[in-house]
Amino acid sequence: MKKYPGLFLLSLMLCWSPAQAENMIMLRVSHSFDNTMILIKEKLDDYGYKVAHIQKCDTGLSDSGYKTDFYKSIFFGKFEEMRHLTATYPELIPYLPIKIAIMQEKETVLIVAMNPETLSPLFPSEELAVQFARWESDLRAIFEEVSETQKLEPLNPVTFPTTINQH
Amino acid sequence: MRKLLLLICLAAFGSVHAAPDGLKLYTKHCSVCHNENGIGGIGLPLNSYKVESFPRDYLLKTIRLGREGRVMPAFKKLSDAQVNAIVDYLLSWKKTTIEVVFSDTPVDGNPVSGKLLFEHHCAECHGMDGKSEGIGTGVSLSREREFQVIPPALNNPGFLGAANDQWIRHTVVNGRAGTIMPSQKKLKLSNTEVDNIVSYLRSFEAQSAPLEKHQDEKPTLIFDSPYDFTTTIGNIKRSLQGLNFRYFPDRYMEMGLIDDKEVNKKQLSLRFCNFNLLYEMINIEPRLGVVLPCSVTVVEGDDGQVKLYVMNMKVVSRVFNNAQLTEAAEKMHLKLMELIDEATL
Ligand code: HEC
Ligand code: HEC
Repeated sequence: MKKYPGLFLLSLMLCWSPAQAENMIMLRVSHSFDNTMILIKEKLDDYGYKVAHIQKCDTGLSDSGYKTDFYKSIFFGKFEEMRHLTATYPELIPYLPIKIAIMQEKETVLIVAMNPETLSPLFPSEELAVQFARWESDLRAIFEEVSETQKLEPLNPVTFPTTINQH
Repeated sequence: MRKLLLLICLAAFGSVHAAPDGLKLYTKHCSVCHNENGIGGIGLPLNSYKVESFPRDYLLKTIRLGREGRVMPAFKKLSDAQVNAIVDYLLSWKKTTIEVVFSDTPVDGNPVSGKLLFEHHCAECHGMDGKSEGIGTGVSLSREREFQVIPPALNNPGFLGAANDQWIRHTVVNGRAGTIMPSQKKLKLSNTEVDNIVSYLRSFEAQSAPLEKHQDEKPTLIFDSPYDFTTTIGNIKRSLQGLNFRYFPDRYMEMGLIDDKEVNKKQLSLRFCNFNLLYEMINIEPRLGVVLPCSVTVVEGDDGQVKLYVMNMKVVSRVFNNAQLTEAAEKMHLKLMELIDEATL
C-alpha cells in the first residue's frame, strides 16, 4: 500500500460508510439560552411545524454529575405528516417527532439536529426520500435564520426577557 | 424594511456569479467544532503558528475524508470550488505568504524500531495503537476532558489518507507549539528515530481494519407482544422499574400536534432513561440529545396485534461518527433487549 497512496485513498473512498457524512446539522450562537429557545420556536412556527413538547434534560443529567447549565430538546412536527407516516411506515416511529437539542456551553448555545437525510439509506423509499429532503431543507433554513437573526436584529430585551448575566 | 430590501438585492445579485464564500462556508460547516477564529475546542486548533505550515493538499483531503470514528465528518457534498474556498479562507489566516508543500517522497524508516519508540514517547497521548488516549473528542465543550487539546488518533484512515510522510515527519520534528505535543528536540530523538516512527505510523494503514459493515442491520427493532395493549404497557412499566430506569410521563405519538381528543390512542410512547448509562453516553457524545430519551412505542394494529417499536441504538450511534459512543451504545442496546424480553415474556 505504501507504494500506492492513490490506490489506498481510492479504496478508502469507495468503502466509506454512509454514516460518515455530515450527519448532524449544527449551529453555535451567542444568544442566551432562553432567547435561542424562543427564536427556534418562532422559526418552527414560520415553517408550519407545531412544537409537540419540550423535554428538559438537564435535571436528571446534573443529578448524575453531568456539567451543563441548560439542556433541552424541542420535539416538533405536523399532525398530518405524523398520522400518515406512522400508519404507512411504522418503522419510523422511534424517530418521530423530529427533535432539536439545545445546550448551553459556556457563553455559547449549541443547537443540533440529526440530519434527516441520514435516515434516507436506512429507510429506503421514494416517498420518504422526499420527506427527509424536505425536513433537511427546512431545518437548514431554520438554523440559518436563527444564526442570521443574531446578526441583523439584536433581540429586544422587552419582548424577550433575557437571562443574560444570571448564570 | 430597508435591511430586508438590501438583503433581497444581495441575495439576487450576490449569488449569481460570486465564487463560494470561504468565510461563510467555514462558519457554517466548521466553526461549531473548530471555533470561529480557529482556536479549536472540540476539533483541533487550526489557527496561528499551525496554519503557517499546513499544506494545502492536506487540508483539502482532510475536509473530504473527515476522521472516521473521531467526530470530524467527511464533507462529501461540498463542491470542489466550495472546499477550495474553505481552504483559501483558512490559509488567509497566515502571516507569511510562503506556500508550503511537502513532497510525496515516502520516509524510509524501520517501523519495527519505530513501534518501540512510539510506545515509549508517544503512546501516553496517542494510545498504544495510535487510536488516541483519553476521553474528550466529542462535540461539546462541556463534557469532561482529560486534555485541553485532545491528541488526535494517528491510526485513522482519514489522517493517514490526508497526510503524506514528509508532512507527518515535519509534525514530529516540530511538535505543535502551544499544545502539549512535544518536538523532536524535546524528546531528544535522532533523525533516524524520527524516520522510524513515521514509518511505524504509516504501517497503521495496512493494519486498519476494514470498516464494520452493519448495512443489513435494521434501524428499528420491532417486536410482537403476546398481550393486549394495556397489559403490554403495564408489563413494560414494571420491567422499567425492575431494571432501574427512570421513566417520564407517557405520550401518545400525536400529542401536542393536534387537539388531545383527536389523538390516536393506540400509539403510546413509554419514555425513559437510565441515568448512569446515559451519563456515560452523553459524556462521550453530548449531541446524543437528538435521539433521546430512550423509548418503546406500543402500537395496536387494526387486527388487534400489539407491536413494540424501539430505536436500534447500535445503528443510530454510528450516525455520530464517534467510535467511543458506538461501544457504549452496545451496553444500552443490551439493556433495552433485556427490557423487551421481560415485558413480552
Ligand atoms: C503529551 C502528549 C503528546 C505526546 C507525548 C505526543 N503527542 Fe502528538 N499530539 C498531541 C496533541 C495534543 C496533538 C494535537 C495538537 C494540535 O495539532 O493542535 C498532537 C498531534 C500530533 C500529530 C498531528 C495529527 C493530526 O491529526 O494532525 C502527529 C502526527 C503526532 N501528534 C505524532 C506524535 C508522535 C509521533 C509522538 C511521539 C514521538 C507524539 N505525537 C507525542 C499530543 C502528544
Ligand atoms: C463535528 C465536529 C467537527 C466539524 C464540524 C469539523 N471538524 Fe475538523 N476536526 C474535528 C476533530 C474532532 C478533529 C480531530 C480528530 C481526532 O481527534 O482524531 C478534527 C481535525 C481537523 C483537521 C486536522 C488538524 C490538524 O492539526 O492536522 C483539520 C484540518 C480540520 N479538522 C478541518 C476542518 C474543516 C475545514 C471543517 C469544515 C469544513 C471541519 N474540520 C469540520 C471536528 C470537527
